[in-house]
Amino acid sequence: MAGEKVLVIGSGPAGLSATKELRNMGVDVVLVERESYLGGTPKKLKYSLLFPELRPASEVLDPLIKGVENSGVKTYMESIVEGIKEEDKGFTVSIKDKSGKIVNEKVNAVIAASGFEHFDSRRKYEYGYGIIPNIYQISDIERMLSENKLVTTKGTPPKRVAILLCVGSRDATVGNTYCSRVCCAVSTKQAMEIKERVPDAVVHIYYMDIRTYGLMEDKLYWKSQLEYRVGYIRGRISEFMRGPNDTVIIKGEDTMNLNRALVVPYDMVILANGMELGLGSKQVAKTLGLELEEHGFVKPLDPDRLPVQSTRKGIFLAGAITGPKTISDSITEGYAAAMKAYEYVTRGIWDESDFAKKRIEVTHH
Amino acid sequence: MPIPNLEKPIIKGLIQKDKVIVDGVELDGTWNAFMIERTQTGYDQSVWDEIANTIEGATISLCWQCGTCTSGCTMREYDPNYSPRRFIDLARKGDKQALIELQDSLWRCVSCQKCTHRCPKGVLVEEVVHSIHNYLLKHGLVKRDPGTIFDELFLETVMKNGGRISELLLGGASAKAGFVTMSLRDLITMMGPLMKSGLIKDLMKPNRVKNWDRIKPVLEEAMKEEVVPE
Ligand SMILES: Cc1cc2nc3c(=O)[nH]c(=O)nc-3n(C[C@H](O)[C@H](O)[C@H](O)COP(=O)(O)OP(=O)(O)OC[C@H]3O[C@@H](n4cnc5c(N)ncnc54)[C@H](O)[C@@H]3O)c2cc1C
Ligand code: SF4
Ligand code: SF4
Ligand code: SF4
Repeated sequence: MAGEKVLVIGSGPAGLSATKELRNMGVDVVLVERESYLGGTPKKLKYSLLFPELRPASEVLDPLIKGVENSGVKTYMESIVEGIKEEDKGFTVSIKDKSGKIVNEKVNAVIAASGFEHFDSRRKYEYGYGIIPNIYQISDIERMLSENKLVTTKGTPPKRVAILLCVGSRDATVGNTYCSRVCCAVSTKQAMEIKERVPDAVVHIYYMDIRTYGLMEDKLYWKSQLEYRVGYIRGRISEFMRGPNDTVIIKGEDTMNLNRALVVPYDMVILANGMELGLGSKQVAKTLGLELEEHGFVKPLDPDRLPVQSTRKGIFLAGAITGPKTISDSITEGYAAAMKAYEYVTRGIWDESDFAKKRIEVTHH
Repeated sequence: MPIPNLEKPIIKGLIQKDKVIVDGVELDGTWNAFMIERTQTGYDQSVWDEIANTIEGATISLCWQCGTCTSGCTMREYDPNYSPRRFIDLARKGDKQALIELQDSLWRCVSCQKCTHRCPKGVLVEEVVHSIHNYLLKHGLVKRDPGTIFDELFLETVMKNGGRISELLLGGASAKAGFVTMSLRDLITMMGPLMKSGLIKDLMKPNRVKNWDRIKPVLEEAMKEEVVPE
C-alpha cells in the first residue's frame, strides 16, 4: 500500500467509527469537522443517558473520540469541504476553515458522515415553541438532564409533564412524511429519567403509535409503565396555550375513549422533534454532487444491497446522513463504509447497481 | 355506519334512516348527530397509584390496551358498555368522571377469568377490574351496586346462621333488597314441604358449624383487616 488516503466528513458516531477502522487497516485519514469538538450531535446537545441501555452518553462516545485523537489522523476542525475535483486516482478536495483559509488535500475516496439536524419546532407554530414559556424539545431536555437543570421557569422541577411525539415527523404539513425512528425511544427514556429525579411527577406521553421497536419494547416501553407509571394517552395534540402561572394548556383528544376532548394543564411540555438532513449535510451533498432521496436524505446507490455507497463513484456514506438512525446503527455503518472504502482504495472495487437510476413512485398523501 | 353503543348516550337529536335519496344520490347513515361536548380538564394520577398499590390491582401497570380481554369477555356480550380494557385505561389516567358514568356496568364481572388467561401482558384482568370497582366504592364515587349488596347479604346470613348458608333466609333477605320477589302464596307453597321434611326445625333453630363460638370471632377479626401488599 502506498499512502492511500480517505477523507471523512463529520465526526459523529459514524465518522469517528469509520476513521478508527480505516486507521486500524493502515489507511491515512483526513477528518473534516464543522464544529470545534469531536463527537457529533450527541456531544453538541450534551446527551444524558443513551437508550436503550440507559448508560451515560460519554461511556459510548469518549472511547471513540480518544481512539481517533490518538490515531494520528490529520484533523481540520471548524472547517468544511468547499470543493471537489476528480483526478485519475481519486479527488482533490479544498477545505475551508472559519477564517476563510483554503487548503487542498489529495484523497483516494471520501466518506460523508455529516449526520442530521433536529427538526425546529418553531415550524409548527400552533405548538408555541419559542413563544410560550415551559415548552421544550427532546433535543433541549437532554442537556437539561445531563447538566442537572431540569426546572421550569419558576426554578423548580416540573410536577406535571406532557411529552408529544412525532413533532416534525409523520406530518405532511411540514413535508416530512417519514418516521424519525429514535424519538419514541428518546421520549420514553426521558420520561423515566424525569420520574427518577422527580418521583411524584405526573408524566404523560401523547402518541399515535409507540415505536420502541425490536429489543426496546420491554426495555423501554413496558418498563416505563411498570416501574415508573408513565402514562400513555393516545391522540395527537392540536395546540398549546399559555395558562396561568406559566402553565401550558394542551388541547387534544383522547382517541382511546370516544369523544373525550382534552384541555389539560401541565407545567412543562416536551416536543419530540424528529430528525432531518439539516443544512450541514445539505452543504456536503451539494459540494460532493450527491443525489437526495424522496424524503430529503442522501440517496444510497442501492438502499438494500449497497447502503453505504453513494450514487457517485468513490464516495461512501455512513450514519444519519441517509436517514434517521440510532447511534449503534451509525457506528455499524461507519465500520461498513470503512471496509468498502478500503476495498476501493486498495483494489479498486466498486459495486454497481442501477437501482438509483430507476424511477420509483412513492405515494404521498 | 351505525353509531357505536358507547357513543349513543352522548349524542343528541339523532335521526337515523336506512336509505335516503337526495338529488338522485343515495345516502345511508345517520343525520343530525351532534356530540354533547364533554371535556376532560385534568387527570388524577392518584387513582392509578392507589389501585397499583393493592394486591388485586398490582398488575394494572402492565396493560398496553390491546383489547384482548374485552373482545373475549363473557359480560361484554350482555352489556356493550362493559370493557375491562377501557376500565383499566380510565383508571390509569384517573378519569373518574368517565368511570362514574360506567357504574352500572363496572360491577358486572362474572369472574369467568377468560380475560386473565388470554392477556398477553399477564395482567390479572379480573382482579384488576374488581380493584377498580373497589376503589370507586371505597371513595364513595359510585352507588352500591347489586353485586356488592348481595355479597354483603350473603355474608350477613352466614354469620347470623352459625356459619352456614340458609337458602330461605338468603331468599328472604334478597326479596327485601328487591332482587327477587316473594309473595304470600310463595310462602304458603313452601310451608308444606318445609313442615313435611322437618327442615322447619333447622330454620327456627339453625344447625351451627362445630365450634362456631370460637370460629366466629376469628372470622370477624379477619373481616376487619385490610390487606396491604408489602
Ligand atoms: C434528542 C435525540 C436523542 C437521541 N438519543 C439517542 C440515544 O440515546 N441512543 C441512540 O442510539 N441514538 C440517539 N439519537 C440518535 C443519534 O443522535 C444519531 O444516531 C447519531 O447522532 C447519528 O450519528 P452521525 O455520526 O451519523 O451524525 P451526527 O451525530 O449528526 O454527526 C455529524 C457530524 O458531522 C458534522 N457536520 C455536519 N455538517 C458538516 C459539514 N458540512 N462539514 C463538516 N462537518 C459537518 C456535525 O458537526 C457533526 O459533528 C438521538 C437523537 C435525538 C434526536
Ligand atoms: S419514532 Fe415515534 S415519535 Fe418518532 S416519528 Fe416515529 S412514531 Fe413518531
Ligand atoms: S388483554 Fe391485557 S394488555 Fe390487553 S387490554 Fe386487556 S388487560 Fe390490557
Ligand atoms: S372475568 Fe369478568 S372481565 Fe374477565 S372475561 Fe370474565 S366477565 Fe369479563
